[in-house]
Amino acid sequence: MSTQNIRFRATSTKAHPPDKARQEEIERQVQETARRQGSQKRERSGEGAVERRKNGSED
Amino acid sequence: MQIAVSIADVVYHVVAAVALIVGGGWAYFKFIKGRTLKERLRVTVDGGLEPSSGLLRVTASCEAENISLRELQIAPEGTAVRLFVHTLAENPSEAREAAWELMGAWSVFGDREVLEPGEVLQEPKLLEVPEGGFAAMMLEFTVYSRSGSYWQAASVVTNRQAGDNQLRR
Repeated sequence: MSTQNIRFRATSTKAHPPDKARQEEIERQVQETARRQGSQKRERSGEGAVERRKNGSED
Repeated sequence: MQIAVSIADVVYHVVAAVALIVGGGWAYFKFIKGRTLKERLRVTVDGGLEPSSGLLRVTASCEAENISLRELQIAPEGTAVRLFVHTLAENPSEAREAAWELMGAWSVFGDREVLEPGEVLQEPKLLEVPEGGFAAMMLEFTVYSRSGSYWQAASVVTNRQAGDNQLRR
């Protein structure tokens, strides 16, 4: 995406009625993103490789 | 003398009745119609895109302002900013709504649970996305209250050079 310092903004005051399923879906996505980033950080710092060696999946 | 007392009594009751009606009307418009004590929030997401050596840096400033006269209990669950991208996969033959792909969701405001009347909370996020030729990007900021209600602001930015309709990712 060839962009050059584009800015965008949105504001809202509209209250939406309770939607428990949507709330749980967002929370699940937050945890999934955190888990994915956590594993990426471990990969970068080498911990992932150590763990794989411990598990015998990497020589 | 007795007539004067009776007149004063009537005037007193008339004034009391009028005061009650006026006061009740004021309270109705102030608190019921004006929703003064209802949960009200203004949410804003301010995004910025900056390409940087194979990466897209996305800045997302998330802001929530309590615009009611009562405190608002924030639910950490679901209070987050989500980043979506849209890729042009083919030439559309008819008008259609773009399909969005979730790139990630990040919690906002941590464990902060109470927002006082008039208080503004702001949290900046710096997100990094692999530069993959997306046609458009959407930032969506959602705040949930303990009552279950939620407020959401979403902003879309399109790629100005995505008009060639190629699969670019």
